[in-house]
Amino acid sequence: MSLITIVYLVIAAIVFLSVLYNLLTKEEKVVDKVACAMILVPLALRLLMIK
Amino acid sequence: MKKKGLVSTCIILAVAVFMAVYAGMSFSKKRNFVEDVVTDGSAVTRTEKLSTYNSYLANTFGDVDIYVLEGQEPGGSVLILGGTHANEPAGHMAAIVMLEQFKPTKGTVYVIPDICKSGLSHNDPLEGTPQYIHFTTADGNVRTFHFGSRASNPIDQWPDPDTYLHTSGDWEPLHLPENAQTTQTLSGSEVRNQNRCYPGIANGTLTEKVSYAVTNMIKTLNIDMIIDLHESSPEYAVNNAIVAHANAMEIAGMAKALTLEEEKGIAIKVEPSPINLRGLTHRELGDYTDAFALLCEVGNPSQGRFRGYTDEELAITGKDPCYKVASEIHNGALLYVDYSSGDFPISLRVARHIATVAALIDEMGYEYPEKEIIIDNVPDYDEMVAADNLGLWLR
Repeated sequence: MSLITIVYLVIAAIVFLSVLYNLLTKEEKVVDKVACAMILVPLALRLLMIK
Repeated sequence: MKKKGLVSTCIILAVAVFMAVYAGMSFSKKRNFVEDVVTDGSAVTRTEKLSTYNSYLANTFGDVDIYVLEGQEPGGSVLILGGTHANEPAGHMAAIVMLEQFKPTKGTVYVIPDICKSGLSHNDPLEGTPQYIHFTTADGNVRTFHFGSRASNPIDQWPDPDTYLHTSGDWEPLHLPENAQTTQTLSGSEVRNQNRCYPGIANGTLTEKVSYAVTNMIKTLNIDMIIDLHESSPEYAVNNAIVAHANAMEIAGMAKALTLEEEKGIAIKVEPSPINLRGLTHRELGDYTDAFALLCEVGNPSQGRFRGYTDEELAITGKDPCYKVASEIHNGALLYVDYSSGDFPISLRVARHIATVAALIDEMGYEYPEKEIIIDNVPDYDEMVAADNLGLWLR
């Protein structure tokens, strides 16, 4: 795994955790929660390097 | 954690986890699915690993098998590449049929049916293409093959650069035409396009490593001819065609005129390899090796922009109502294939590839007797088209 791939994985992890934090603590509208969840799915798969 | 809406948050999160697990299992299964290539009863005398020609490929996803079919009598040699673009299934399937059916009596046939194995391991996002295609053999077995992506899997080389600068690495050209460039800039995603990465870089990206191994294999084994099997959208101009490097134009022209059109009635075009379209097999393998470099294209409705609902049936039958409509506008001027029948089945597409490969090999033998290759048990074009059941030519 190249260094740039690791950098991108760290970026993906930060975005994943930020969205998860928003979903759990900030968002109150159901629509916004669903939007958060939809963002989490591809981020989780990329963090696990599944494509 | 806030208390308001806790129940809805948990439900939505649970649904997201379910979707991630479900999609992840499907993707993971495809990534690890191994196609069964049947060599029992075939003329395959041995297999090699592609990493033999680039040690940086060892233990990577690109280290595929090379199937070697050796005739008893020495003669010429040909390398057949399938699966360069994994969303062009006739190229992949034609290579598999040839390695399972061809029986060379003179010369050597090398077949790599899954040269871009990484591309076979995933699908293009938002294209709605099937993950697999299936064929039923004469004895009733159902065999499963990948339908993949045009490009390598990003998990093998991620991220893509903004701009892909194609270079020739450490290779020195043998036959570079005047005014030709050896570098070229392309859109970033083309860094994962197997057919933009030749002649390859030994320790480059996975795609470049594979290309390097192919170039090194041709040079090491002094292979006489290389044929790369593709498909293209019916609305793309280079269609039902042989693309030939300058060193192979005569062979391609004679194969077209004498064998394919005159003898078999197969309409086909011959296109010259553009001098400054870098990275492609028909360009780089002709410039950087002594092999006759050729690429074959045949129309594939399942990859075109005009297509409608895309599924396994479209990939196999080529029946698409949208292309039928397109073929009736302006007397078919929108398309570069004759789609008046309303279909373009994979049996026909594979039959075209096999007939073209056989004609090119025969023509090389006529023009260069020391490079003659004689192959028995070549599937008959008319029989394949009439049967319209590719499974009958799979073991």
